[in-house]
Amino acid sequence: MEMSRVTPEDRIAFDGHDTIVSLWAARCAHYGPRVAHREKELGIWQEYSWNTYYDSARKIGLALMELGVSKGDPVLILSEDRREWIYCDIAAAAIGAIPSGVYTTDSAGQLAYLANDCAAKVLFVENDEQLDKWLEARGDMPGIEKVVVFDREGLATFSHKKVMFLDELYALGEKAANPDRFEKALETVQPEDPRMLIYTSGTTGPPKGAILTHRNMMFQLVAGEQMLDFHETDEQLCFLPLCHVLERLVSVEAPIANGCTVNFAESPETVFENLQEVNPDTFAGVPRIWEKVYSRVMILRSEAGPIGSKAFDLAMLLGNRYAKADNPGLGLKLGKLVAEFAVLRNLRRMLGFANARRVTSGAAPISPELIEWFDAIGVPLVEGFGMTETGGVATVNTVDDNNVGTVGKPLPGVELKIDETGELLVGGPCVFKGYWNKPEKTAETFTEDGWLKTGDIGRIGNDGALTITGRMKDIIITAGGKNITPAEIESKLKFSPYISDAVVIGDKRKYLTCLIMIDQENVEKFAQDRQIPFSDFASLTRAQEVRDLIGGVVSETNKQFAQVEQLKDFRLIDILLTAEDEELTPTMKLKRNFVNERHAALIDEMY
Amino acid sequence: MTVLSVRNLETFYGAIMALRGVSIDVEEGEIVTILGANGAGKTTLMKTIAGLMDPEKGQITFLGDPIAGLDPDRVVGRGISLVPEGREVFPYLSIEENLRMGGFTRKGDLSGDLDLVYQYFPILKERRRQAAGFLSGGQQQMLAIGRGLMSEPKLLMLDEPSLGLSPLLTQEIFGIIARLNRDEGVTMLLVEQNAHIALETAHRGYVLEMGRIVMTGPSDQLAASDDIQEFYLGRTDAGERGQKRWKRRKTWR
Repeated sequence: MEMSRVTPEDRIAFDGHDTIVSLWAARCAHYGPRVAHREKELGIWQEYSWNTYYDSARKIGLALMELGVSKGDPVLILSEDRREWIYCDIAAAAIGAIPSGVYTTDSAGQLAYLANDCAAKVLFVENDEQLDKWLEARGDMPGIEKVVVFDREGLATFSHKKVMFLDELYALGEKAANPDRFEKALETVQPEDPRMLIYTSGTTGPPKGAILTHRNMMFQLVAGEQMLDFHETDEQLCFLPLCHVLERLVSVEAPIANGCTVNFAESPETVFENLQEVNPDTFAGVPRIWEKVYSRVMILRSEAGPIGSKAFDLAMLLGNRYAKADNPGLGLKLGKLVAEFAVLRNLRRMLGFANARRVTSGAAPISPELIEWFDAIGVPLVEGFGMTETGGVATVNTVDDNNVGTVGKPLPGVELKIDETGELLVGGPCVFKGYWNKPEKTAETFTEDGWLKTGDIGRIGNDGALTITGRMKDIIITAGGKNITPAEIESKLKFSPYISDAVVIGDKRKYLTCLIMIDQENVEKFAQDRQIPFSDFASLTRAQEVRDLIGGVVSETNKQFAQVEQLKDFRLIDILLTAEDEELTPTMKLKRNFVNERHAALIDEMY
Repeated sequence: MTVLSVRNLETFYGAIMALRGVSIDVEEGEIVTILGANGAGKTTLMKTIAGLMDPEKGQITFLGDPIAGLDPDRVVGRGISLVPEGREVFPYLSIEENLRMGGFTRKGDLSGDLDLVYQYFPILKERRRQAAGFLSGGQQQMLAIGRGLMSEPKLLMLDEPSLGLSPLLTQEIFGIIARLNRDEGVTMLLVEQNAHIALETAHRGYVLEMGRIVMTGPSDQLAASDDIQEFYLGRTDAGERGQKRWKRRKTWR
């Protein structure tokens, strides 16, 4: 099929299957005892086969039907990444229900909002901690009829008529009356049926549930096959929240289509250790992860002593030159070979990227310098662009054709257009069906002729590669009438290992300023190495030397921008924010409007 | 006036870094408490200040003079006295001999100080000829505090005075600590596991975790913090189930 001309009527199929669940059933039958998932139990990696994958999901699916879940009913999953997450996800989708993930950092109130918004009857929770959220707010979500808990730990004496445990659910599925009901239900799932409901993180207003169909996801798989090479033998590491469309695409749909093995990280804190253990072949991360890797290496370098750091600098120089040269000379080739053996190879092994064939970054802008840095150490990092409403990926660079600074060319079949206001419009089979029960919001998201309004400002190069310059609603119009897109300035600031996030301010103001969240670990280390006294986080942000350090980064950044884009002042946020705070999205990005509100006093100080 | 000021103190046990850059201040006339779980580095901090351990890095300034790395007897001579964890009285010496040992570094007459100690701890006077080993735990703690006072310290450091004492005795000891501070103006640095009573007694506090200060503030402010309530005061916000195994994430604010 010629993907660039897909009409809404065309069937999109991968290996002859046009829904994710029928493809999944076929793959499970095909791979049988092969390893599908690996997960740590008491510190030891355990393997789980495709057979287990199918049997578990089948039992859950049958049990869900016994509980009265029918086609089109949403089901909520509130858990950290683990294999049961995926079993429940696929089980629900297979019987035509609509799985939707809830972030473990969400509060009880946010859970109640989601439960009411989608009217789910069944809620899966990971453990006692998440169960307590339901218990706390259960009066506000009367629609939840059954809560299924994965872990019994700490709940030995607990019982509630609405709560059951996963093993009880399996048992219920095992003794279900018509065992072939599951397969029958699976066959009736149509490509246009919802595959999942993804709640957008909602930086403006309450979260909205975007409906992604099987066809949307099949398109991602078919188009992805041409842009992103997955191999049957690939090892992957799953650590971003599965509630997010990107992780679901990469760790659920893609492995189903391509037979890769998914390894679950123990927790978000152990990602770097798990990376070393797994040595993934492909890896999808967010800029924050790449920034962390970079700053870890730079800190190690500063501790390495004169010989080690010299060797590292030299290797980086050679790696960089080699990566940039179109036609490297013999000397450079030799030098790079030495650098590779002496430094770079070890560095990659230490980071867990020894086998990395392709690593990607998405979900937020990443600074081009960072991509080049990874290129120099031999880690092929490519940037892509997509949003929940485009089913995950819309454009992506490839390792062979990596246009640094752009987010790559559209997937074959995806059409891009820039409207007269500069907003990026997307069309094609990747575009979602609409928001759950919010027709007016859905209507607002589409143009009259059916293009998806992304809310991003972009430009398309002559080669067809897309560059995103910022968000429509983030555009700052200074009192002088200049339009400024803050994203570029912010991503330059974040390149510093000492800055974890930054928000540029200046709408309707005379000049630009900036609120900065410092990286606790690295700044603490900086302070300790220089004997700068501090006690808690707030006093760290008040230390003059720390302010000077960040001031240096700010003025360094200023040099790269025009006069009107200069940051005249900055303030450091003096509380240590966590994902539970309203100012941060679950992916640890600062939310502009919340920050502006909560730190108004700091901002006013600067004007 | 700042009595004690510690800056970026780093102390090691062999390869293990017990203090990872601690900075604290103690002002004249206050009681400052240091809270922290087992192994947080509280005792190490006390020992480093007292000169029992040498810091790898950092400054300790006492009344304006650097004292880091001085021998313990010099530190006592400068006016810092440590009431060690677990009391450590001399069991075969009499109570009065124990007290006199506390004033060993001082020249001159000790009788005034003995009277002061006996006034605060009358039971010690009653039994002053007996061997200290025959005292009960609470009385030994009183003796240890009394011994600490004998050197007329400008800073008294108390390492877990409630260790192994009944709740009632703990109340009594802390009552005396508060009185010593109020009436005699003794400046104190207090390490304590019992966060309840420590925050009640002290003016200010620091929270030490993994060898780092994570939180600081006036005692009432600390006592009101959610993290302190859950992790140090054992508030059981058990919720619906009446039991809770998981812990909230610490934010220290």
